[in-house]
Amino acid sequence: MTDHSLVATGLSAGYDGKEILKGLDLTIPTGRITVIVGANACGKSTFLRTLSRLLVPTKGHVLLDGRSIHRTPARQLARTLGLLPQAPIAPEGITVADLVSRGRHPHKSLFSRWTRKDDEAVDGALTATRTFDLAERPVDELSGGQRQRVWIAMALAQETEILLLDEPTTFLDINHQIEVLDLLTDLNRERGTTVVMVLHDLNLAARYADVLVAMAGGRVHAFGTPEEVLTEGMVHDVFGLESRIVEDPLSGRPMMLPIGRHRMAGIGR
Amino acid sequence: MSVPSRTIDFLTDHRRRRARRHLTALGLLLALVVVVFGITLSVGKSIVSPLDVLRVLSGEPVPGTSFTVGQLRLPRAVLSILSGLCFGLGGVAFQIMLRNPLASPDIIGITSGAGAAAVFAIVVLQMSGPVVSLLAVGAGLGVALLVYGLSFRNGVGGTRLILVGIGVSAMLQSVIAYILSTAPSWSLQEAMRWLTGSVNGAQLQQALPLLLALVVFGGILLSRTRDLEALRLGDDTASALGVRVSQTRMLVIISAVGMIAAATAVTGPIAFVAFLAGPIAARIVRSTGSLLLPAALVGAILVLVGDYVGQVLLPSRYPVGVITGALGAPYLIFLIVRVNRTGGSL
Amino acid sequence: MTSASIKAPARLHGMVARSSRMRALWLLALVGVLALLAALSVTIGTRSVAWADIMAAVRGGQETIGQAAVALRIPRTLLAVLSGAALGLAGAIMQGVTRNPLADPGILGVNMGASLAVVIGVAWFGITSAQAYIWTAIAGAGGAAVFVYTIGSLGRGGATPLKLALAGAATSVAFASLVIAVVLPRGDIAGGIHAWQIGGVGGATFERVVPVLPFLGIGFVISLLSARKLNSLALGDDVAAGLGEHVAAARAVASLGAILLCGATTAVCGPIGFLGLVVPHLCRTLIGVDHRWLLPFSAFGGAALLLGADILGRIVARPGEIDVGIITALIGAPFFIWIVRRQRVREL
Repeated sequence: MTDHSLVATGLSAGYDGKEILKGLDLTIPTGRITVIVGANACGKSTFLRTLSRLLVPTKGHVLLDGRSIHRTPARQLARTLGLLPQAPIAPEGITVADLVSRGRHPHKSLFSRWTRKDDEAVDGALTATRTFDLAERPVDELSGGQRQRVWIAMALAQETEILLLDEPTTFLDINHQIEVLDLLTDLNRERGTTVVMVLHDLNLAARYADVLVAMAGGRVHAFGTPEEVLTEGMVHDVFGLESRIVEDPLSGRPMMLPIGRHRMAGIGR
Repeated sequence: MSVPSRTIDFLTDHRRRRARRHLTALGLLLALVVVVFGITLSVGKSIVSPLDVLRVLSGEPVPGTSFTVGQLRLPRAVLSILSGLCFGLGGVAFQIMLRNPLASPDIIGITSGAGAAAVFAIVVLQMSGPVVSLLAVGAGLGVALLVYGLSFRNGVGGTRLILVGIGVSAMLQSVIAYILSTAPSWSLQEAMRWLTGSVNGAQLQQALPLLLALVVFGGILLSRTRDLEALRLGDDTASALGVRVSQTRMLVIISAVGMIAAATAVTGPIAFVAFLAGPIAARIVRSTGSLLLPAALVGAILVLVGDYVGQVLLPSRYPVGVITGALGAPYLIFLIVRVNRTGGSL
Repeated sequence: MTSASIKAPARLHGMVARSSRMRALWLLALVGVLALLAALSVTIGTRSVAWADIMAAVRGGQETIGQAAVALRIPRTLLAVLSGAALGLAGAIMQGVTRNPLADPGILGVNMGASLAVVIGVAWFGITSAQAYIWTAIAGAGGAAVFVYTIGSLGRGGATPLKLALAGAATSVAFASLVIAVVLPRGDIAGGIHAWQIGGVGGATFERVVPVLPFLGIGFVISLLSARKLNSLALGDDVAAGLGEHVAAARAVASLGAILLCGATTAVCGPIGFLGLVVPHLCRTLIGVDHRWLLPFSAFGGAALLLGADILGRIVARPGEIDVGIITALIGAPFFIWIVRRQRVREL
């Protein structure tokens, strides 16, 4: 199990002088799956980027084990905190094994050689993501779901105890979305990795999250278990949408059904 | 977690095979440089036996050939190799860093900047020698930073940088054209050096600044091979892998520009070598490893062969830049077609 | 219905009338500026000439050196006005046809296509007559336009601004190096071609200007008549088709006009860049996006700008002069960069 703590305090950040995060406070629960949801432009991606050092905050800090991540040497940080960005780029013709090996970058210095330990990490990552059979295939030839698994494998090979993912299921078919989320859950259960991700789909978020964070206006609007956070009030406040929350018969988690103007026979008019 | 060793062996094997293929490709390219070097020294308008070439190279005076080989062909070949290495390495570093083959220094205005400074120093200020090189390096760096700064908005978008560079390049080209038009005493041959690049009138002492640039800046670039490779995965991913992206970029810009500008000051902007070397090298080594060294060697081969074709194989003599330019033009268009069709990179 | 919506047509009519008046005023002002510049262009030059001589020269006198110098400035001024108008108009058309803020005969490689064709014609086929020059240049311009557009529209998303600009710039660079390769072994023609390659209106004579007039005339007519079509195209191909426009034909006709204008201009002046980029942008900020106004404005604006640039080139480098192609590049390239910077991050 991991024992690293990741904390955001009074975090403000943005682009072009426009502030998107406005004094956000959040402690990431260690060893759990935290899912961030919110309307477009509420700052969820900005938060994840700031959390992973891609964006320098204008105010406040991101503290990893009590130390500001912007003062931690990049390579050292990258051994604890991994990130899978929304649109990673695979160089043309690169093979799966090669791409996943790139995850070992923070563990290598200028003259250090490739060791058995590196091979073990890559092997472990390929096995965990069930991409070993693809090892020699070029990444460009893979399907969307396979490719996303390969990118997750790269982040796994990095062997970080915290993994941040920015909308890992976008552009994927529903079956591949489930596949990726199951994989991340396996990872959390088997390795104890702390997973933090932004998701678009509220119902998938509620199903897979240990802790659900709803963001609005650059701040944390609600924080807690899916049952605590996914309520009709929250959906109304954050998304401006009337809804009904029911129990997902498969997982027992809350499930949101949106209320529109049409075809609402079930609730009477 | 239990690790079945069979799969690890497979991975190790996969990696070793790739490394071996990479080394083989490098070895072949190096051999090709040596062979072409040998041919340019021994076969020209007159043919010198390889034995005599070796004797001249070892410093032994050989009547009748010492001058042709030692004074004419050798400096030309040496300068071709060195400038080709500089152009190839500098060019591919830019292409890798910005993940776009069009982001080569000859398209985004850096060579034009170095060239404009060199022409200005020579024509207007009447300077010569290493000062010109220094000025060219300074100007190349200035232009690079200008282009980089102008395309900065929430980070540098690769394509925005290319377009800004094309604009800056257009301005500098017209400055070069103007300065050359005010220097009526100049021969077309000399003007050609600054418009397309040539190694005519090469002298061995010109090799010194190139060698220096190659050792210092090339050394810096090669020491950053891993970071550059990580940058190919995108800035965000590279950053997540612990690469200090902006610091790496600065180092790469400075060293790549240093090499390109030093070479430009000596030979002029030999057209498209910086642009062509990377993509050609990528076809040869595929994705078995870093492109830096292969591209440098391809650059050397391009300049050597281009100059040889222009001097010996064609009925009238062309400076090397015209040959590489004529070769590069269709390739540039082909590349645009390919990039547009697939959205692919290098 | 609310009262506001009842009044709407009347209000709309008032707005249109007001903006038409504004546009007419702007057009008048622009014509005034152009006339002033034309007068300046005849009186100002590398050599200072007395008023009396200038007046005499305008009436056709050629007795003194001063009068002779002024007599040379008259066709030069005419050429600057015509080619400026042609390039400004061609730029506006290209931006409309491609819906691309970065389109310009220089950036899209059309001018360089014309010059490559001329250079090949001169070097390999020994063409000499003005007519042959013009036809060759127009063929080259057309070929390059089709070529660049085809390359630029390959792949996902069709001819996006970015892809077109890159395809055009790359083609330009490629053609430029081919021009050098063609010219270099021909020492006899190299000097002349190099001067022409920079782009300028210096050394114009009536004999050189007259042959292009019919081409420019046809080009102007076709271009100006396509204003309505461009207005439909501006809404996107699908909407334009929905409005009953024959999209491909509209595009082809408007492009033909622009190509005639660019080709003919390049044949006489050499490739002059960036004018076609800058002028329509400036005009758009003055009078909006309606092509029925934008096209004539761009023509007048282009004429004024090229003439101004030519006068500037004569003043700043006395006793020499700077070719107008250099001036337009120095003014236009920063403008190009500015537009590129202004584009949204998503597009670039």
